[in-house]
Amino acid sequence: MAESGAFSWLCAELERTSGFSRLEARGTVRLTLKQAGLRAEDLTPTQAASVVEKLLPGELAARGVADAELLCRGLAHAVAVLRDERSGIAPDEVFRQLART
Amino acid sequence: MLGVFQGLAGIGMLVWYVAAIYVGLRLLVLARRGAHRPALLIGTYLLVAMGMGGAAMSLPMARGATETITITVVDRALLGSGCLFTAIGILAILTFTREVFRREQRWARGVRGAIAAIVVVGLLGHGLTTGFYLDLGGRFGVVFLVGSVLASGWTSLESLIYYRQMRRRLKIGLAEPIVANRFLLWGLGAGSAVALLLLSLLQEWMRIALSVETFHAIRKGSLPLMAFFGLASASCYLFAFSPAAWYRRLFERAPAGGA
Repeated sequence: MAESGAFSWLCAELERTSGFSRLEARGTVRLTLKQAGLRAEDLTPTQAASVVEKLLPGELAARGVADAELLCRGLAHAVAVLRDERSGIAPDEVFRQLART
Repeated sequence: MLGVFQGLAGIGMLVWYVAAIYVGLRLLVLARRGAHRPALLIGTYLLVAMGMGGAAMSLPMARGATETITITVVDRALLGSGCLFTAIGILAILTFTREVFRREQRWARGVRGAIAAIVVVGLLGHGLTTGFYLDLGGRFGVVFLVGSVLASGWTSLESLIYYRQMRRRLKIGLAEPIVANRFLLWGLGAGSAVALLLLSLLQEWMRIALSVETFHAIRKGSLPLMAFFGLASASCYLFAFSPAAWYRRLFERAPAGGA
């Protein structure tokens, strides 16, 4: 299953900045996305930034990461400016268009 | 009293067909304007299967439901074309469900292929063995109905699962309430179609297992249920894809999480 660029970038950056292993970083991001009702294959940079800002600090703090707020603020700013390189259109975008007048 | 039930069922089914045709046409126009493939697929399902297919099949079936009739060439043509329209629409909705909800998962291609094969086998088998007789109680008719139930059931399930995700997104401001609600409506609309198809399957079983008089009596009793599911399905399609201004305004005022 193809992951979105925003998801891959976020996992790699979290691994690099938090001291997590690859598996820990990916697991933490996946759990946070599940909480937010988002999927790795459809994640846009805007959605990623919002989740990193609102939900990830709590997840990182619970895993003993120091300065989780600060780390997440940096991640959110950086992920927000990524280009959206998903391979297809997400279901919510499809359903938004289906009632266009 | 039974006359009232029949009238209610007739109105329910009529509203269902008209709503499906109206919303289907609307979506096909949208697809034509913007080369929007999902609108083309869902519009085909609603217009061809639910609207045209359902209406073509219900005309002779409604006569046969309450009295013993001699089936004519016109009846067979209506039933045959109804089955064909339904099959075309089902293939469209299977493609919609896979492409929209599960485009990255390989297993979804298998599920689409398997259900499509069930529907095609049922259609061909029913045509070849009965010449599109009035009831779908033969082996292949039941296969056809099972395929239809699976196709509508799959799209309903996927939509309701996505609705759950959308509710979570609403809490952190990552979804529009009216779009989240659209997943709920589509899931419930397709779910009502599943309920109607399951009622048909049950009736086919009763047609075999019970005496003609008992079957007709129970069939008439099930008519209000059919009316209910028909109206529920029609309302869901209308509010989902052709919402009135007042309905849209409900969501503009709704707080996050209130879909």
